[in-house]
Amino acid sequence: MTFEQVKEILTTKGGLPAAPIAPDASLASANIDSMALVVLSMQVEEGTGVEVSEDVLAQAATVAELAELVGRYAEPRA
Amino acid sequence: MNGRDGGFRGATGTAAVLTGLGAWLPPRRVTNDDLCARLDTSDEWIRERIGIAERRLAAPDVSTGDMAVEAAARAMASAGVDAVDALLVATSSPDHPCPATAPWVAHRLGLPQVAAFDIAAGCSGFVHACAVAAGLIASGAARRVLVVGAETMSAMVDPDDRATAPIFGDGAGAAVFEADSPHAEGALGPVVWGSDGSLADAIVVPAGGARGRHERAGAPQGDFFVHMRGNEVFRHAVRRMTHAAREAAARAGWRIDEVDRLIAHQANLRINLAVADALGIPADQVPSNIRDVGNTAAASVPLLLADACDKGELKPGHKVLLVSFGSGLAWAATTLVWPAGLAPRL
Repeated sequence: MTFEQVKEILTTKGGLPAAPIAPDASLASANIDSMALVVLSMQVEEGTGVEVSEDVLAQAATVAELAELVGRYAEPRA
Repeated sequence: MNGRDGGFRGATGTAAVLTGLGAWLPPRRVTNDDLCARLDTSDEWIRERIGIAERRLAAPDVSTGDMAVEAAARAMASAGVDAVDALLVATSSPDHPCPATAPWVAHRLGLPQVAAFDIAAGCSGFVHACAVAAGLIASGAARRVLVVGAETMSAMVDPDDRATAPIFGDGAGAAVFEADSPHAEGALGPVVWGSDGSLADAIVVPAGGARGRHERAGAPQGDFFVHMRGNEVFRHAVRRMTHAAREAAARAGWRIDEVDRLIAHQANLRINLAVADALGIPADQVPSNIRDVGNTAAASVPLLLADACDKGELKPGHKVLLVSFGSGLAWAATTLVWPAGLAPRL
């Protein structure tokens, strides 16, 4: 999943303001709280059937890392 | 009786029809800034995260039963009735572990010897109680039922717990249902409900009940207050409410795009926006009063119905989808077409 896709979910489904969600921003400075991570994880699960807990997602240091982490779970494995 | 074409209907096809609504909120307003004086949180955080600006808290000498009496009297006045066959009080904060609160409420309302009992289904209690009322009416056990949702959540919440103290508020709402045709406006439709006791500890008051009573003396003070695993509750609330609401609409024969208003338990603004989004119901068709009253648990649905009707957000003929979710876990959904001439008493 790309940064833009994650940002789209967080703004349209998670209700977060778009401006602070930058690739280098920390989750806290992008206003991505645990509830937003639950919304993101539910969207990933609905889209792919793969369960990823918000605790795992919360380990990302930046939004770019979050997108990479989601991508690792959301994309089909080889 | 939970037939394909509509709800709890007796052999004579009798439905429970909404004829009166009442609401009562304690006068004391507690703002987010008031809470921040003792909690490490902020007005901005509470508003953005859960959508609450203030809540009402009952005075220490005002109980769930007292608020239930106020709301119930207003609902009866709204319906223009002075007697009922049964009184149900949905609450998770009863005046006493024993007896139930409802008989005392009936006594105070001047309804001696009426069948009266409590319904404990957490924040879903009011919609559960509506379903029970519909069943009583369908079976012929009652012609007119008074359903109250009343809560003193301030008695259940640790004022020093920043995960729960900002969320909950006190208040009571009530509705009168009367036997009439299932085709009448205001008739409750099919009920879709359920529970998942495997998650009983997701929202729980750990101490004070029969379980663990041998450890009661040594239990930490905090164990006598409500504990909630917020993220887990969020996830299940969205899933269960979305599914139950979709199913209730389908059983009523409504397409989702025909639903005019979604009335959802006011747990958290973001939960309700997520449910509305998952259902495909536009946010401007989802009335909310959580900003002003917080999460009032079993009182939230009747308080919102009264508020939205009073503000003209619920209009005669509107197809209204009700859905609730709470501790248990327990959830319920039903439908009604908003009746003409209903004037809530606030």
